[in-house]
This record gives sequence, structure tokens and C-alpha cells, in this order.
Amino acid sequence: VSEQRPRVAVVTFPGSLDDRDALRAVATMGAEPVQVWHGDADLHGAGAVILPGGFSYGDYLRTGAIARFAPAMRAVAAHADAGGPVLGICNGFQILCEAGLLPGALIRNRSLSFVCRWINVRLEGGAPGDLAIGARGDVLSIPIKHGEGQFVASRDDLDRLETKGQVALRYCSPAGEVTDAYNPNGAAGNIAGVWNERGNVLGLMPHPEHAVDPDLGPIGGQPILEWLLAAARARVPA
Amino acid sequence: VVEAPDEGGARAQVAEMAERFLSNPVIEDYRIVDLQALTAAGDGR
Repeated sequence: VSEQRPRVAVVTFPGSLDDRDALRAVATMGAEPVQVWHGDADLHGAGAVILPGGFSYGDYLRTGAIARFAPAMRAVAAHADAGGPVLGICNGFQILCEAGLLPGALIRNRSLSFVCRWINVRLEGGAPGDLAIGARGDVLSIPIKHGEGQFVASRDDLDRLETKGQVALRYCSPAGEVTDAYNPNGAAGNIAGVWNERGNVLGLMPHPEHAVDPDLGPIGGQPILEWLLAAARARVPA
Repeated sequence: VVEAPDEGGARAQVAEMAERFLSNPVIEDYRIVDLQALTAAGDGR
């Protein structure tokens, strides 16, 4: 494993559809992408993991409910338990919640309609881990595309997320105002992404892998992938 | 269909499935409404 070019695993489940974009984004960001099949028992030496967006196992039962039992998820859980960085994007976020690696759940959008558009998210800072994404208050332009992206959690979990700095991103205006008018799915507290308590697992509904190439549009996804790569590098002995 | 020596065992299996997989306690609750025993031929009785 190269310290400068960490290996990043992207897990493909039946029904994943953003795994190829995630692999490409990892390469664009200067890391080595590693394809991992849902039936694989290990992460092929990767120092970081991405669970990509899509509709794993057809979203049967609930989003992410079946994927959480995939063999590869045992390796992902072990990696997270050891402090390894994990990024769950959209369906990956849903899988992490179902697996208990993140608190809360994602339910149908408040509008009951699928939403596909560019939105803005504000970095909340105060990441519980050693590494933060960008600077607190920075606004990133990133696309969303989901039908079940409304983040919900118990009152106790929401309070805990707020007090422990586990809210990573909130939907906001281009100027960073967090109001209901800029909440695309009804998420509690405009929450677009959350950390686990340790700060090494991040789940978010926006798609950073679609916003890293300046030739294609805004690059609001770069700081999020930079966090993942920095976290992977920090775990590799010099 | 679950296989168990008695209704209590079947109920315990169904409850475990509901808790581990069929429901998400963050957003859902569950209750077991009915259990029907099957004969060896698979008929309800």
C-alpha cells in the first residue's frame, strides 16, 4: 500500500449503480480504486471503503436491509471497528444505518417523489475524528438523486448527534442558510450526512463521486473524498 | 414456514426474524398476528 496513493475499495452489490463513478472518482482524486464484490470476504488490502449509491438487492424489504447481510459487509464492519474510514453514499448511507454502523434511518422523501438535482450542503465541522472535511461553514454544491433520503432518528439520537458533533452536513442555501426551504427531502434538522461516534464512518445522501471532475461541473465532492483519502493515509505506517 | 417443536419455539423464531431483519426498530414496530401449524403434508390445521 502506498502512503501517497491509498487503495480505496468500492463495494458492488447487486443493484449498485454508482460503483463505477465511485471507482473513477477515486482514481481522479489520485488514489487506487479497488473493486470488491458483495460476496467477497475481504477488502483486498484497501485502506478505505466506499459503499456506493444505487438500489442494492432491488431495495426489497427496506433500502439497505438485505445488503447489510452481504459477506463483504462483515469485512466492512471489521474495518470500521479497527478505525478504518468508511464512506457510505446514498444507498451506502442507507446500508450503514441498517447495519448499525450509523444511527438513524432513511425513509421516503417528504414529497413522496424522487428528487434529482444539484443542492448545497454546509459543512458543520466539529468532526468527532482526527480529520475534518474542509472548514466549518463551507458550502459545497453536490447532486442528490433519491426517493428515500429523509434522515430520521429518535429524539435521543438526534440530541446525541448534535451534542457530539456527529452532524457532518446540512442542506442549505447557496449562502449557507439552513432553512426548511432548502431541505429537499424533509430530513430532520436538514441533516444530509452524519458521522459515527468515532468519526471514521461517514454517511451522506448527496453524491460526492459525481462532483469531482472540473471538466464535468462543480467539484463540491472533492473535500469529502479528500477526507476519505487523508484518513486512509493516516492509517498507513510511514 | 418455520420449523419448531411447538408454537412457543415457532413464535420465538418469528420474533427473532422480525427484530433482526424484517423490521427496523428506528422506524418500525411489529407484532405477530397469527401462527398456524401445518401438517406433515403442508396443510393448515
